[in-house]
Amino acid sequence: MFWKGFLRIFPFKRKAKQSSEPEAGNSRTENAPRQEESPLGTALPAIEHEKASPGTSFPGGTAELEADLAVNIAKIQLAYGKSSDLVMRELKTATTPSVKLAVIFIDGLVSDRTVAENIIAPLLKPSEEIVSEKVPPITFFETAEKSLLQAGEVSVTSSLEEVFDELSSGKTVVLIGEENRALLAGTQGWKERGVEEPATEAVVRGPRDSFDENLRNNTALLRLRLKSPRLHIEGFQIGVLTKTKVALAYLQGVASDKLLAEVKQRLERIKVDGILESGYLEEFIEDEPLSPFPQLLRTERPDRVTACLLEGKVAIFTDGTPFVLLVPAFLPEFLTTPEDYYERFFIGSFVRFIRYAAFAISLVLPSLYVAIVTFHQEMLPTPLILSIASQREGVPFPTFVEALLLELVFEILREAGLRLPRIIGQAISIVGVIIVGQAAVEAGLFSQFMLIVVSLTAIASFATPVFSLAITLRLLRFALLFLASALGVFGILIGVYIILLHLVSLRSFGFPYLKPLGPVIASDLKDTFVRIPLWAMRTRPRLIVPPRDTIRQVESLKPEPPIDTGKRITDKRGDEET
Amino acid sequence: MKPLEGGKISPRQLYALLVLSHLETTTSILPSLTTALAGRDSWLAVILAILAVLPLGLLVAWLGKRFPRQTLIQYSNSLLGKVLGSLVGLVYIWFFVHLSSLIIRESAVGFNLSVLPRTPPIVLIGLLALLGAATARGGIEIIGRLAESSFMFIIFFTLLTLILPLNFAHLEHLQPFLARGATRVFTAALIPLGLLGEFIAAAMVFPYLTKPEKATRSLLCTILTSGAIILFFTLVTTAVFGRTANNLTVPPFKLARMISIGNFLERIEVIVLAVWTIIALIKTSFYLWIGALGSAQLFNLRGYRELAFPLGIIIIVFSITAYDNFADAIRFYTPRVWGVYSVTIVMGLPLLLSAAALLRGYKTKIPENAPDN
Repeated sequence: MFWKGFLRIFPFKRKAKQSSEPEAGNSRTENAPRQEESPLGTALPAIEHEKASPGTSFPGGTAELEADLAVNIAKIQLAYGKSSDLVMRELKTATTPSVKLAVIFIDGLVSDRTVAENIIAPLLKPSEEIVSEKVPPITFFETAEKSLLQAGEVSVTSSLEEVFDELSSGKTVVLIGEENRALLAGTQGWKERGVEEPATEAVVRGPRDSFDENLRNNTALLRLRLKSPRLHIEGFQIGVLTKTKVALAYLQGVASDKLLAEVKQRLERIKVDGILESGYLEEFIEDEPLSPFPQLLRTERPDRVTACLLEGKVAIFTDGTPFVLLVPAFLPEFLTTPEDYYERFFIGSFVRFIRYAAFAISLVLPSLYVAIVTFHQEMLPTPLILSIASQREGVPFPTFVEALLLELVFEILREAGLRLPRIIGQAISIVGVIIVGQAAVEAGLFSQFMLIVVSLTAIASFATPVFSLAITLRLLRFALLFLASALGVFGILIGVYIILLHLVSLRSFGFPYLKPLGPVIASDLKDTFVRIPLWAMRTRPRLIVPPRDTIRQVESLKPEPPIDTGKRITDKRGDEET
Repeated sequence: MKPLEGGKISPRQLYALLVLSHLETTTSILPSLTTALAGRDSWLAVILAILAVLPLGLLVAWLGKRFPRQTLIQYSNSLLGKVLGSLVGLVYIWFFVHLSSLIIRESAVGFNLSVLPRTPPIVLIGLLALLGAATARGGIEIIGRLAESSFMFIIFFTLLTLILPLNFAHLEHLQPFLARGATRVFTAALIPLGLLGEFIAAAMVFPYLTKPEKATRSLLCTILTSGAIILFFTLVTTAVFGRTANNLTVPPFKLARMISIGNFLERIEVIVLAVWTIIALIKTSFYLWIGALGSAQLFNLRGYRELAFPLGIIIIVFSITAYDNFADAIRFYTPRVWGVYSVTIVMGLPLLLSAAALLRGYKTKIPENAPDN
C-alpha cells in the first residue's frame, strides 16, 4: 500500500507539467467525473490512509476543488487543521449581484500590504467600468483573473494539491462563489536574510555575496553572473512532505548530456518525506556512500558556481539552504578557492603549493611523529632526538597514547568552540591555551613536542579550504595514527597506499575522482598543483566537457606592451616611461 | 558472455606500470647482482641486455598485433594447440606469480633489515600480499591509474637518490675496462636481461589498451627508459662504491644513506624505502592480476577477481619458503640460477610463440570474429 500512495500522490512529472500549463490542467478536470461526496466523508479515509503510510498522502479528500465555496473552504481548513497561521477571509463583493468569495493565505509568507491593496481591495470594490463591461458569458471569476487582481503572477488551478503547494510558497488563493477553480496570486513577501558575506568561504579579494536560504534568490544571483540564455535552470520537487524545491543549473552545450541524464536520474530516484539541506541530497546521490571522501563539491559562493558551470559541471540548488552542490567533483578541486583565480597567478600557484603541503601535514604528521619516536629514532638528527627524549622523560604515556589523547582534546576543543555562542567561545580558547597548552606540559602530562605537532596539524587542517575534506582528513588521521603505532613507517605507507587505492577507484558521477592525477590528463595539470595564467588557460577541463565545446577563449590573449613604432610613448615631463 | 576484464588502460599507463615494475627490482637488489660477477664492467652488461631486449620487444608487440583481442594465454592456445599452449600459459602464469612472491619477500626483508628489525617478516609479507591481492581484484584499470598517478613522484625521488650522492662518485672505479675478460660480462648480462624481459607482462594487457596502435611505441619506450634507469643505477653504484659494491645487499639504500645536505637533510633512505614499498605493491598487484586473469582464461572460468585473494595467500607461502636467509638468497640470485631461469622464460616464450605463428602462417591479422577475451 505504501508504494501505491507514492505513485498516486507524488508523481514528479505530472506536477511539473501542471504548473507550466495550467489551462490544460483545467480543461481536463472539467471533463473528469466529479465525486459527489461530502468533504468530511472523503477526508476521513484519507486521514486513515495517512496513518498507514506516513508522509505520502495529503489529507483533505479528493484532489480537486468542488463547485461550492463552503465545501472548498472546509477542505482547506481540514487539511491545515488548527494551524494558526492560515488566514481565511470570507468576503462579499460590493457589486450587484454580490459574489461570495474567500481570500486565503498563510500569514508571514505574504506581504500584508500587497494582499490588502492589490487583492482584497479591487475584489471588494471593482471599479464601475470593469464591472459594467461584463458581458454575460464572462463570469466574475474571469473578470477577477483578467482585470481585478493586481499581482504580477496570477494562475488558475482546480487541483487542491496545487492550492496547498502554492499556499505554502506564499501565494494568495482566491476562491470565488460556485467555481471549481481557484485563482492563485503571487504575493510572496516573507522576511529574508539579505545577501551576506559567505560564512565558510571567505576571500580577501573577490565578490562578497553568498547564497541564502531562498532558492529563487540563489538562482537570481547565478543568473546575474551568467547572462547567457544557455544557462538552463530546471526545477524539481523532492520530499513528499517538505516539497523542497530543487533546481538543476547547467550551461547547455557545455555540460554533457550524459552527465545531465545521470544527475536527473539520480535525483528522480529520491522519494523521502523531507529534504532539509543539500546534505540530504548528497547522501542520496553520491557514487560511493561508504567512502570517507566527499564526492560532491558544495559551496555558498555564486562566483564558484559560475566558474564550475563554465567548466561543464552541473549545480544542484536546494531550497532552504545556502549550500549548492556541484557535480562531478574531483579531489584536487577541494584544495582550490575562487581566490586562486582572482589574485595573480604566482600567488595563486604559491597558495596551491601551501595547501598541498598542509594537506599532507594534516594527514600524516602526528602518525609520522609517533612512528619515528616509537620505532625509528635513528631517523632524526641526534640533537633533536635527544631533546625529544629529555622532554618525554616525565611523560607517563607511550607516544601513541599521548598523541591520541592530545588529538582528542583538540577535537573536543574545536567541537566545543564551534557550538558555543561567540561570546563564550573566547572562554574556551583561554581554557584551551592555559590549561592544555601550559599546565598540561608543566604537569608533565604531555611533551612540548607533541603539543607542537598536534597544533601544527590543527593549523594545517584549517588550511584545507573545503570543510568536508577537512573532516575526512581528521578521520583518516586517526586511522593512520593506529597504523603508525603498530607498524611504524611501514604502517603509514600501508595506510597511504590504501587511501591512494581507494581514491583511484572512486568515481564521482562516473568520472574518475582523482582526475587529472589518476588518470593523468596532461592538459588539466595546468590548474592542479599550479594555476597557470588565465590567458594561457585556453581549454576547459577535459573529460566532462563534450569535445565540441572545449575551447574557452581565443588564442594569443597574452598581454603585450604596445608595438614599438619607433617613437616611445613617454610622459610629457619625461620622468616616467611607459 | 561478459568479458573477464572490462577495464581499459591507456598506453601511457601501461608504460608507467612497466617502468615502475622494472624500477622495483632496480632499486632493490639488481645492481649488486650484476656487479657481483661483472664488477666494474657491469654497465656493459646492462647495455648488452638492452640491445638484446629491444628486438624481443618488437617481437612481443608483433604478436600482440596479430592477435589484437587476445592475451598471451589465449593465443598460445590457438598457436600451439591445447596441451602445449596450456603448458606455455602455465609457465607464464607461474613466472609472474613466483615473481610477485619474491617481490614481497624482498620488500619485507628490506624493512626488516632497516627499520623494523623485530617485526616478524610474516606480518609484513602477509600485509603486502593481501593489499596486492586487493588491488589486483580492482582490475587493470585501477592498477594502471595507481601506477600513472604515482609515476612522477616516484621517478622524481628515485632520480633524487641517484643524483645527490654523485659527489661521492669516482669515475676511476670504472677502470680498467674489461680487465677480467668478456665472458663474465656476457654471463652477468643475464640478470638485467631477465629483469628487462619482464616486459612480456604487457602481452596480457594488449587487448585492454585504449589505443592498441601505440602498443609498440609504449613497449620500446619502456625498454629504453628502464634500460637507462638501470644503466644509471649501475654506473652510480659502481662509481660510488667501487669494489665494495659486490658485498652490498641493497646498494640503493646505501646510496641514499650517504646523502647529507647541510647536516639537516639526511637519512633520506626512509624515502627510498617508502618509494620502494609503493612500487613493490603496484608491481605485486600487477603480477597477481596477471596470475588471476591468466588462470581464469587458462581454465575457462567465468570470473578472475575471485582468484586474487587465493593467489595472494599462495604467494605468502611462496615468499616465506623462497629462501631461508640472505646468504641463501645470494646463491639463488646468481646469473647461473636466477639469470638462466628468467631468461629462458622471458626469451623462450615469445620466441616459441612467434616461431609457431610464422609456421602456422598467422602473418596477417586474425579476423574480427575470433573468440573475444
